[in-house]
Amino acid sequence: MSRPDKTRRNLVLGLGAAAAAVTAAELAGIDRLVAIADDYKPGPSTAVAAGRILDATQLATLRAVCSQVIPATDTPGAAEADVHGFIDHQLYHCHSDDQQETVRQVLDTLAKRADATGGFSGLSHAHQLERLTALEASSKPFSDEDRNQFRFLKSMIVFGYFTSEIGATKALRFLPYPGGFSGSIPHAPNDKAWFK
Amino acid sequence: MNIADSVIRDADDEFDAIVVGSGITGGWAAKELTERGFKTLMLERGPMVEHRKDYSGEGVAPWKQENRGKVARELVERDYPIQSKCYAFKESSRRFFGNDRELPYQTRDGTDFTWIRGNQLGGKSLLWARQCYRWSDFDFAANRNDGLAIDWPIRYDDLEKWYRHVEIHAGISGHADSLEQLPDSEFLEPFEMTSPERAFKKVVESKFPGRNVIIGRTANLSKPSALHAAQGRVACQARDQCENGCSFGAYFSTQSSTLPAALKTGQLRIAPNSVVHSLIYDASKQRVRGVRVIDSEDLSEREYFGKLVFLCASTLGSTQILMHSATPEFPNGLANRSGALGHYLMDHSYNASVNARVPGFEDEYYKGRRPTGIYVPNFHYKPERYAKDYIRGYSLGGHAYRQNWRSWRTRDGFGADYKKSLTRAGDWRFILYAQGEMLPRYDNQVGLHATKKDKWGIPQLEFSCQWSDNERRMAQGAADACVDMFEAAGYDDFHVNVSNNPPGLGIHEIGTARMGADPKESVFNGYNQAHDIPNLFCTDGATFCSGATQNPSLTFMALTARAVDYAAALIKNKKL
Repeated sequence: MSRPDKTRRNLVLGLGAAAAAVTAAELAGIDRLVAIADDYKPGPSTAVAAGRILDATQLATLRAVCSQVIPATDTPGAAEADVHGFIDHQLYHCHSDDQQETVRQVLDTLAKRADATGGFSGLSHAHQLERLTALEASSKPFSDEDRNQFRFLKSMIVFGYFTSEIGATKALRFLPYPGGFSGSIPHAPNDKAWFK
Repeated sequence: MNIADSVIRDADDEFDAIVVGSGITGGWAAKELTERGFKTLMLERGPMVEHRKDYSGEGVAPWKQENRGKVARELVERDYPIQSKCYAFKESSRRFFGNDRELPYQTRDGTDFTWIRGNQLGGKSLLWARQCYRWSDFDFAANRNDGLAIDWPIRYDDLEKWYRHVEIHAGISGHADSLEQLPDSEFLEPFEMTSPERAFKKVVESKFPGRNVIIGRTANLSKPSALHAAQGRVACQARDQCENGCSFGAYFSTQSSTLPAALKTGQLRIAPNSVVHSLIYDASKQRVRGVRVIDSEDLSEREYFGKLVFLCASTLGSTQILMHSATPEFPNGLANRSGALGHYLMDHSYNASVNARVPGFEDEYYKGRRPTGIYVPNFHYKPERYAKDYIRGYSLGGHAYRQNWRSWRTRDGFGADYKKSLTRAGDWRFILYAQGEMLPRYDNQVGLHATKKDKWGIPQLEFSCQWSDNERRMAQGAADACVDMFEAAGYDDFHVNVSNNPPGLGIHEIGTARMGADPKESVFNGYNQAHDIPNLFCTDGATFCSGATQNPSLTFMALTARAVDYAAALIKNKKL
């Protein structure tokens, strides 16, 4: 997209300090914030097909885990933000074979320990939570290795959620153009943190 | 003159000046030369990058970036195994890093060097961390005082007006702290400290006399001057993504600052994609006549001619060119009668950091992402202040921040309350890291590899560079000092890290073509002029005799402007 240089130059020269923040966005070009082609598109969160690294069962398990870790509250949760789809994509593009295998294994472990025909995602909410809590504590039937694997998966879930549009802009405060730096502003215990 | 009209490929005419490189120093040389009426050709080995137009990584929201900003594994392994070690390397900034596959180099067994590079118009001026500090005479005199290497042939007085000159144009934010070891610059207003930082400053300055905690001095426009506004540069928006390129021109780069000034004169021509193979030397006149270039894309050869040549190709780039320009008169590299070329390579050591929890300040936060931290200037700045077990010193950088979700990615828990806990601001913490001076040693060196070449047929550089015990003890000493100060401030939960990262990661590589008063010991004189070739200058970090603790780029800029002024005066007075 072309932006007329003359317009921007006039905006710059007519700029007062107070107007900086508003004109700033125009200067940088709103098109910067517009979608840039990316081969990952968030998928619908209701149906899970096989991904690139994770099969359909593993993805279904992962979606349920995402829902337990970061549920929908007054803001959408990790499943709504398709963090499970993101993790599959990210594992494929950025992570080692070992790390991919780590995630597959811990998801398989959860599904295997579910003792139900519907796998982990077929368990009741309370049962899922009980399983995950035990996993995180490396209590029976889960081992220390299982817990360590889960820890890696959890870090991806948290990263995937808070870098999603939902997580960054709704669960946190996202400020692309702060306009300048203030070293001290009041903060209340219930205030949301900045994205960065 | 607009940039497109200035770009050339072939040129038969002789230029008044050729500038090799378009980064921090190349941009300054081009500006100063063209503003004095010199028809100047600026060469760049990489492609064009136009201000604003080519900042494709700027302002892209994380969820719209490839892999949320992480670079694909295949790409890292194939093209960026070394560049990816740099703190500034990510998906949005990688276009401004060199491609390791195309820019190979060698390191001698038992040694390592992490050579971080740009490869485009603007060079590392697009990527740099922008910290700017003047050197003092304690720094310039350090070699003489310690009996190490050779004395700098210049002192602060020689550079003071040039520091001022470059600062006014570039725009440096900071506070006038009146410290003898860290002269004040011409400042734009300083960025604010947070309350924990101000409290830390109070504690340190009262309990550790001689130590200071100041706001970092940075080439960001906290508040543009009228000059900057006239250049079309806007106040820093505190986005913390300078290295992606900034369409506001709010930090100093070739694109935002020196290039527009040079273009305005109408005297600048730019030849991108021009890998300098060697300098053309005329032994009968003892002058360089120009450069031989290999086209980076199609490998064709061409030559450019100029009456004056400024090497601004980066420390190692310039030295490599000199080495590859050997002649019968200079068999060990052009201008290398002394044998000093290639030796006394230095970087800054980043091998100590401490991170601790700050109690209190729960009802305060900050807004915006400040483009600088705080800074503790070197307090070992003269021999009587040296520590017991190492000489010279280090500066400290760092900042206070509140923990957030990034710190808690593996925190135990599930559900609504857990989610809420991740969305809050946590404890304050303070991090400090040391930037340690590396001593100049002959054995720390680069040379042309005997057999391996790059795709342009130019011999690869081979490095042999290691830390000495001085740097190692200094890193431990720095960590200890940080712990002392944090303890005095009442912090807890200390994470102390003393590492052994190899040289190079400081990205402040300097030396290998040192200046000096004596041509038997140095390559260039105190005006950055080759002792034996009066129309050849080098103003990047290659000519440094020592490293000090301050980030070198501001001194690069001042030396460049001064050297151009000197060369221009010689030409005007018909001495050249």
